[in-house]
Amino acid sequence: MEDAIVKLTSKEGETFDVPRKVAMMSKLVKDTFSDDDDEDDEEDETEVKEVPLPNVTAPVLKKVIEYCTHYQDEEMTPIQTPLKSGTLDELVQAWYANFVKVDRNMLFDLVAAANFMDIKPLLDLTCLAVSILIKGKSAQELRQMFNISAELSPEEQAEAQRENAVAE
Amino acid sequence: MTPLLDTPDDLFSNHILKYLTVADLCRLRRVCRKFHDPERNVVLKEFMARDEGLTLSQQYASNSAFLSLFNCRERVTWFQRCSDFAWEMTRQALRHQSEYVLCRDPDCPYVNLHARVPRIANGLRNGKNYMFFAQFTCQENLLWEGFLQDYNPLSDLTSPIRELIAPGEPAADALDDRFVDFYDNFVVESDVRFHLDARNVTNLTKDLVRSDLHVTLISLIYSPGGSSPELRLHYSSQGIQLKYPEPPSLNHSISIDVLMDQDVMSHYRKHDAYATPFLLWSAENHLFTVSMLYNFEHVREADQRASGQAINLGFRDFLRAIDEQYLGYHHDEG
Repeated sequence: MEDAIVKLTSKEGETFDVPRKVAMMSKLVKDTFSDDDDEDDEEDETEVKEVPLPNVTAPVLKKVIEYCTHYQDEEMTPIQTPLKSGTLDELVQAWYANFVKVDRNMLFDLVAAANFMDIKPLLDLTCLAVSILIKGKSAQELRQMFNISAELSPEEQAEAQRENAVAE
Repeated sequence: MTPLLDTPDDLFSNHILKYLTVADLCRLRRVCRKFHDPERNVVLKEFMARDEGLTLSQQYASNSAFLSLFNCRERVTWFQRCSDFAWEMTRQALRHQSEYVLCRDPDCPYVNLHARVPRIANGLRNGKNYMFFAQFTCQENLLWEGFLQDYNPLSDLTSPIRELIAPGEPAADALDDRFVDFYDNFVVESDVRFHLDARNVTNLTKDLVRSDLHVTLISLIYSPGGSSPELRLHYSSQGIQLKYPEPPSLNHSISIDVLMDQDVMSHYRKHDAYATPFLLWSAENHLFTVSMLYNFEHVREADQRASGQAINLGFRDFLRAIDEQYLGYHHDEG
């Protein structure tokens, strides 16, 4: 059972062979297995199963597998809130901090993949990385960074700015 | 849509926003309508969730000025500002103590204590709401922080001790002689400016009241219809000066811990003036009140002259009054 392989298929149809233990970090995959097990208890446990992941592209799936594989050797320490630091390296182990040092699009895709595949520690890590991108940035910097056009009315802007002055 | 805005709302609510500070949340509100519109506002929902958490943990009284004066976003924001300011003052005091700076040094660079706290009348002090915020830390670890209400919003002169002495119990049985001495020598001779109800304080037990306990007391001052609220420092120091009774005695139901004196500068530079808070504990060893007394002999005398009467009775007189009220009992002279 430990050596069983799961085939994870990306949106493009590319297939990745993953040890079952690694794949089972995803609750989506785990649930797929338990559903199948309920249907056919006599099934050969060494049989290779395939799980289609139509929402996850191949490059992102590759990163997800890299994360889950590393997690088997070094479990990520849970992220404590409130955060004691604003830098990733002080919040998680070095490997995990480096893992999310990727471009923004890849980071958002990883958030979406972790959410879709239901991998809690990966979701925690990637959301933390997004939060750290947001931390300390002005509204204008955030709009530039995420390419968002200003859509608040001057009154709304003024109101939000007043609150901001209180919080700063 | 950018990838950030594609992220589902529940991911913002359950994950991303949880890691952000209050200041970050306020800035994020200004980014786009998604974070601002009341219908779709994940940021407002996060403020509401944090406010709910604070209301629960802080046990705000229903008549609390903090609840009535501010909306949920402002409450979360001001709580955070108070916490940040208190931490800053705690660290300032620690640096101050480690540098052995003489507190009466006119060039002392640290924030002075705000000691001119007006007397309370109908919940206001000189027409303003003083919302006191206490922070208890130990070796820079937070034990508890939050707002404390005035023990009696009508008068600072109501002693909380009266409530702790059970009806029918002779006051002398409830109080240690040294406690009475303390009260006569320190409290009666000083100027008690406020008693704060501390029954909502959790995570601070009597065994934590040691030399490394650091107490910081600040206030958020709100002027109705006026300018933006202000933050003022009233006390920030480490250490305990006196404990009554010591060791704890089962025979006495009330105990008291007097914190270290802290010098008051600025307007009182020419006088020996200091702030001394004390913690009053109930028979069950629950923190009951935090009181602040000042020793400004010149100010007290001026107050007495202005009011034409003594502000505080002798404590033994006070005990007599309690006993007479409850028991019709009279202490022996002396």
